[in-house]
Amino acid sequence: MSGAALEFAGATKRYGSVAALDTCTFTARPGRLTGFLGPNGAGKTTAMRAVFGLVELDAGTVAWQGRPITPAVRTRFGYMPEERGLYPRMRVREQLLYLGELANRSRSAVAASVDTWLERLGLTTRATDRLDALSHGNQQRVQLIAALVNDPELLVLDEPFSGLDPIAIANMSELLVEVAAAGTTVLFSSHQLDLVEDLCEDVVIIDHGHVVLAGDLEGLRAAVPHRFVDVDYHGAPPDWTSIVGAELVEADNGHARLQVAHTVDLADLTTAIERTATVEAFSYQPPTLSELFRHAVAA
Amino acid sequence: MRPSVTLEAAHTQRRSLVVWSAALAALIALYIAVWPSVEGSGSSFSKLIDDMPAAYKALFTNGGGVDFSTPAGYLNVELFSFMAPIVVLVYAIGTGASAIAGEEDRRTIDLLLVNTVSRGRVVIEKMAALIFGVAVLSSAMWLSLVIEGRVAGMDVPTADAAATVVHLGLLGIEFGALALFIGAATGRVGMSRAVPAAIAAGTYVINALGTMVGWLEPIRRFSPFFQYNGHDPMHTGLAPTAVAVSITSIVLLVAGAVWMFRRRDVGT
Repeated sequence: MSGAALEFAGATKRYGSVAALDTCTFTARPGRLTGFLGPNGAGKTTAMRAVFGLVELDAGTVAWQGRPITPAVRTRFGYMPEERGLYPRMRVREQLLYLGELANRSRSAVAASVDTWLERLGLTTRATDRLDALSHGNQQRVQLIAALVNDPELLVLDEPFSGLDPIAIANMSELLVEVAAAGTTVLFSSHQLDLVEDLCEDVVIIDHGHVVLAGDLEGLRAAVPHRFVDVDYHGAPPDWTSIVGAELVEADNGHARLQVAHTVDLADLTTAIERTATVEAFSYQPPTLSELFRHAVAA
Repeated sequence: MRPSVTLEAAHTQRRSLVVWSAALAALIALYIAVWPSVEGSGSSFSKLIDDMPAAYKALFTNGGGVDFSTPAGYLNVELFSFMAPIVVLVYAIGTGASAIAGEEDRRTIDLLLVNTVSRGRVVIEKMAALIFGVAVLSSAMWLSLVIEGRVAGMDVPTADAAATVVHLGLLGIEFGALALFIGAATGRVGMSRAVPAAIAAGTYVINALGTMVGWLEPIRRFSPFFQYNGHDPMHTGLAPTAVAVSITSIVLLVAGAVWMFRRRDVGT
């Protein structure tokens, strides 16, 4: 993939007999949102922690802009761990200043950034509260600010939407799109595939520590040799099994979803359905991300 | 200007240090309040302890002598043989275990490390915070002895008391460094507390019984408690050799902690 910023090459990590990462290879590009997907225990968190040197790889490399990641390089990264890692009894602003300054930036620059983000995320009035006095959603926002406070070139977020209500999800989504549009490489894991499908240009699907699918989401969907047809109709349903080249995925009252080869003649298909029913709506689409995911993980 | 992990750690424990110091001051006040009743019958108390079984007496006095006739002797037996080391060790081992393993247990270590602070620096700065805490407790102990002793008319030997709390502080820092080392090597809080506590108990017994059990005598010199009061600092002052041995042990433990912490995965 050209223009890669973050690059995993053959990353391997074992814990005893368990392979947390198995020759894991993928890239994340600047200015784009990359969704990092996989079942529980697939190796997503291990891969993310490897970026920050929290786990040491047994083999393979993780590089940033073609070079090994050193502590100095990490000053340009932001990280939001899955198990939130802020100090619960510390005050919000004090904590963000402390973490921001650890990256060797001036207090005034960090303070300006902290105050901007607190205002942007509606937390200015909570700046002097202890973290544990905040709601889960607000704590999540503070955690996000901790990752953003030093204007990172790479933002790695482990399950950032976990436990958020729909409004908070929408706000965080909007923010991530904005951050990526400013040129930041954003890699985040999530189990909310519909959300990832809406947000991400690129996806990486990992299973048992091995990347099973990676690349531009539209390209991946287009490359699949089958499509899905959704039909709304009234009248008697046709004998779906008699339609050549189509396989019934699901059917209920007045609706059917068919899997067809991408070479299927849609006019013939419509004609076959209209022998017994009247078509009210018809759509022809590549597979959704959920279908890609299930297919990739089941393979 | 990069902020200090040490200052942050010290800031975090400021309230607990005040409570610990106040508790120590109260404990010392209790001992000083009892002194007038002991002063007149010091020889009787000394004889009472001298008549105890040798092993019991050794454990009671941590292998030291028994002298209830002077404030120095009284404080040596009542305060510095047992209670003061326990207080300092509980604090130091708890703080050492919390420094790295505790941060891992609370899942706060990730953000500390990813914000570019090197692992070696985290260990060293956490150790500095531990030393600061022990220094505060030791100072509080010495000040309490001097001030409360003066108020109560007890003639506390200030220089020798200072030497004793220095040795006591070094004892605490040694075991705190051991807890930090185990935490840095394993990331396990329970082990970081339990192993130093067990070693403290074992080396206390070795030091105490080493005065009366022949084969323990050579081993006794390796006990941190021997470095602490083997030369009776309440009567002889600071022992440079013991200080050097304690500091060397601390430096080796911290160096080992840095080495181990750099070579393992964190939070797994």
